[in-house]
Amino acid sequence: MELSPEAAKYIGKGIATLSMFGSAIGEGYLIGKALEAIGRNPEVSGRIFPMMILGAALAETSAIYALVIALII
Amino acid sequence: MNFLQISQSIPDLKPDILFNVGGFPVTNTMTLTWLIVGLVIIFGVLLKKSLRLKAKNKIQLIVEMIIEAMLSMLDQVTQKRERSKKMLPIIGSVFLFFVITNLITLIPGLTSIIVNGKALFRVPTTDLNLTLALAVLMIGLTQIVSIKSKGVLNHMGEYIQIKQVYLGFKKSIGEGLTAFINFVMGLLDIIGEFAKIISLSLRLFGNMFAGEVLMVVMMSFSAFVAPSILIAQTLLVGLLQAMVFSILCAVYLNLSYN
Repeated sequence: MELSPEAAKYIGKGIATLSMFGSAIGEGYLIGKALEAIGRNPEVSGRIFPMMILGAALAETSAIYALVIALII
Repeated sequence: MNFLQISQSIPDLKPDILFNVGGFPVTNTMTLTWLIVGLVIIFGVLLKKSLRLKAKNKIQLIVEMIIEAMLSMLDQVTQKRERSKKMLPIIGSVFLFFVITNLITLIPGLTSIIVNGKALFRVPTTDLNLTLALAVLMIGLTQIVSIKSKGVLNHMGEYIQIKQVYLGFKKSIGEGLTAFINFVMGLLDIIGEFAKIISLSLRLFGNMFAGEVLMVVMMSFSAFVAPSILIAQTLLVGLLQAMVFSILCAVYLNLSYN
């Protein structure tokens, strides 16, 4: 069977999106831990919350790389 | 195609070239970038004229509030007030620049002005050239600051830790081997500096470009109500990514001080 370049391109794009797995797991873990920390001592939630948002933005980066790769292909 | 769905072409990775100035191409992201820079400079000059010790106009109060918030944000990174005051001009201006460039997409119709079949303006951060240039500048600045505060030899010594290997082998074989592993890790730090540039620039570019692409996809799916969620998300993502970029720059700068 011959694979046309166009088809290979779309398969590559699909494989690139797989990295969103890791990003999603990381984000879920991070937010879960942050909520745990807030639950343990709610007074510091004002300091944990911005850090959590920052961390979520950083964890999202790998998914963004995947998107850039998918767009470049 | 019905009136509920508006189909647009997915934006290209590279911006359109509007015209050339002496062989130097001027793109539609550049026009908006310089427009923003000009407006911010005019705003700054006008504000400086009306500055009072006891603020009377509301704009001065708002600007003071923003600067105070940025200082307290920097304090969390540096833990020293003098150092954050020293870093505020560069980090603060990068932050404000990116906030304005990211949120300018919320002005309706700004990116739809067509001249000669090409859009006159395009959101500056959806162009990799801008984010890459700023990332290179900021990482270059950290190198310069590091050289200035530690001296050339100590700065080079952080990457090529030949001295520690010598001292370690003088003590014992075991310590020498750990020092040798640290030496290899130090060499990897050189690659790490380039990785910093790539991750800083691609993060901001990717997020903003993804927003644009998602908007086009959403418009072709349903042009009413549904994109408003995405617009609200753009507000959050634009602020957040500007913050992430400037805070990471602040962290790198702070590391290069000590």
